[in-house]
Amino acid sequence: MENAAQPGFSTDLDEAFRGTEVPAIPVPQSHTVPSYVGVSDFMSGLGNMNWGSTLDEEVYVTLMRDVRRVADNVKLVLMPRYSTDKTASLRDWDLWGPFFFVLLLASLLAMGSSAPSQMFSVVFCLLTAGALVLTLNIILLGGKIMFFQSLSLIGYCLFPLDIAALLCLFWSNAFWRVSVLMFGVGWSIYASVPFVGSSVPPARHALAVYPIFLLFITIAWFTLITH
Amino acid sequence: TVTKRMMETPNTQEENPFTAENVNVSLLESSPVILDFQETGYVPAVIEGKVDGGQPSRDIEDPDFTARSNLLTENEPPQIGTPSLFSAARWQQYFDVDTGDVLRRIYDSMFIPSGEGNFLEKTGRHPDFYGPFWICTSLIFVTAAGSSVVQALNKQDDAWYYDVGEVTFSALLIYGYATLAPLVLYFVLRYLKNPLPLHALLCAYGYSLFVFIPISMMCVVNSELFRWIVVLVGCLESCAFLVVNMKERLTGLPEHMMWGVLGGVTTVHLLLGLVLKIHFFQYW
Repeated sequence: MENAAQPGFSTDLDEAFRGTEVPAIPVPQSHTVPSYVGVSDFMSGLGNMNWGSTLDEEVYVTLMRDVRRVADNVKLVLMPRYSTDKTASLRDWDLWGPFFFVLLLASLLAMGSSAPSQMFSVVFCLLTAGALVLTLNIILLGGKIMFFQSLSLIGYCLFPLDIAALLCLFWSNAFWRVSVLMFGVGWSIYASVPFVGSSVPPARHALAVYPIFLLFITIAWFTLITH
Repeated sequence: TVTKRMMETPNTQEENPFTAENVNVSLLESSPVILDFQETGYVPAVIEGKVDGGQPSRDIEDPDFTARSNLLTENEPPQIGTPSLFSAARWQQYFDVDTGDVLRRIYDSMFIPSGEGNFLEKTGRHPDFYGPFWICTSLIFVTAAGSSVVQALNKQDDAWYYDVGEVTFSALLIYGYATLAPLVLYFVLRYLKNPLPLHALLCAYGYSLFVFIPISMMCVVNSELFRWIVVLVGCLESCAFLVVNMKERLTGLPEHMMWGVLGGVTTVHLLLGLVLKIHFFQYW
């Protein structure tokens, strides 16, 4: 088929391949050969990482990555003054932090009790079920939150109570314990109220905040009365 | 019941158009009649049970929320439908209360004359599981904490350890009572042909337990006489709340059976108060 009026088609090869043009595919310049291309898109919190190579790293590096992540989240949740973005709280949520805080708290409280295993299981169940129920409470009141993000946040807010329980280990003076626990509860509530309050309509603000207050007060009371 | 519009259609018979021989075929052949059914149920002029009269919450930034609340601005009861058991929307309708509503209901449960004895009506339209659940949970905590304070005040030696079994016992007792007692009452009333909705009963029982919270706090005082007086007054108030609000709704029963049911409710409720007092706040 002669079509000499077409510009750019001058050779026989072009004539033979006429009608089979496809748009030029850009060839990637750098071949990083990632094995799991899609994963790195949503694991944004981990930074730009080559997933294939983490299998060879030292255990210390692996652990420190998670420790650093937990530390960053603690800073984000509990010390909002030091984080740059106040509204994007806990995009990079994880459940390791809450898990360790719950374990630590349950262990500390079980140490000072006459029936350690029973105390441990009661506190552990209370905290995990409590975080779950609190999240459900917000959802049912019409709040728009992500389920696991909220679980993670409530878990991180237990960190001040961990510190308070540790401090109570050293001295069992009632005045010291009460003041330390009040400080811990106050800090926990200060950290959790903005998140919870912004997620439900203002007419239900108190309804969402009160159960969180109840949970922290219960844990503080447990800490107060153990040896 | 049929409106005047049907009676205006052409009808060659004079007197009663509805007797058998007077039914006019032309009625059937005429253009379709529009039947307006009159509501014979209780239609409130004002929405009861919500402090703001059913106005949508003022949350301007959230169009979804105001759209959903607009259901309540019409003067009809919300549809307590049954979407899937696992969808959030189904259970959200039981949590559709504001802070003011919950506080108002608690106030009505403590000071009975202020409510008009129609607690079941109000909560039947706007059922509320938030109040009962969190009142029970708070009560569990307060009884456990109160009993620990009583034990600490009365301890013989310094090596006193708190028994965590108290918390689990309290939880079993109160959650169990707040779910089983309304359930049993619901089935009994169904059997006696005077059904009341289950969510209203759960709501009433939950709010009736509120008065035990200040009572548990007051039982910390170390005087047995004071404790017994306080517990008695609280139990009577709680039972009175249940009785006053249920009495008008049990009209389907014969007189003696109504008093039997109410007596049973009162007895079981008094038993609960007794168990709470003797287990947690008794120091011999």
